[in-house]
Amino acid sequence: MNKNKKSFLSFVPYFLGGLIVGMFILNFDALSGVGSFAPELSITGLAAAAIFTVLGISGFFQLKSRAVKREGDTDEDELEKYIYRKYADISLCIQVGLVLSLLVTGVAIIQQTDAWIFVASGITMIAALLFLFLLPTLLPMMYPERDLPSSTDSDFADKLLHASDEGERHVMLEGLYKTFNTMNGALFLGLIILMMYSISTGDNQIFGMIVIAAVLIISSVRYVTSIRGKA
Amino acid sequence: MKTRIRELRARDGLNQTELARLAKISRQTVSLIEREEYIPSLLIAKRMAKIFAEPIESIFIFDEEEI
Repeated sequence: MNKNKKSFLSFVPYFLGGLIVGMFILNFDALSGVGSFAPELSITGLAAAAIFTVLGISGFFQLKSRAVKREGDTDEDELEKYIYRKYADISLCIQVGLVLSLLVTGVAIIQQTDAWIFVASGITMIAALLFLFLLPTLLPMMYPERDLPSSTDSDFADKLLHASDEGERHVMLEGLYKTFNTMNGALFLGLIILMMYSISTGDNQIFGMIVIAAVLIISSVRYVTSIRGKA
Repeated sequence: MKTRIRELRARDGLNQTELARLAKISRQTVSLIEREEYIPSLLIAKRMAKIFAEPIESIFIFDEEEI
């Protein structure tokens, strides 16, 4: 099976998923007033954002102390694996916390819910953002023998990529390629869900649909323009 | 591709981190090569050959169909 056919077929599950969720929305009247659930959704979202952010922050300090006190460890390989996985877990927790707190803050502003929800989600968002920037400062402690860029460098991400060896780049490439495909599929599914939601509730989501379509097109154009010049 | 890195590490009493340090690569890369999930570049293969004092073709073993 050629690559284009495979790539096209990978969208089919997302398309079907979007249709199924859309059909569910069409037959579920309660969703027509999703805004009326805003306080409950905000509190649940805020609790989840706070839990993820706190987990991320506590993990940050655990990793920092473990990375500093690494002398005398009997199993060096296990410590390296622990440090690597812990860093990935912390990064995920903080990013999920950041996205959820941003969502709750947005809902709180739009729906003008209780002020404490806005304040709490704002604080969670700032904490998550702060630790997202602080996270790369652990890298020199985790890998003291490596020549890694400083997190304050203007093009930190590019320099970090160049400082990685071929195996690490191979892992990143696989991860990013899977992410790219999942992201495209998920956005496609989101577009269909928003379309069904608009039809079902009369609450038009055209602006959201335009934004999703623009993101889909931009990400595809960015990918294709970056690979087609390498012929 | 099959690799004898795990066996040679055990022979020389090296853990993955120590081998990574000697080969100037990350432990993750050593682990990937050892699990046969990644074929290393010629440069890394040459360094491994030097570290273990073995020819490249005795460390990294390819099937006839792969070559």
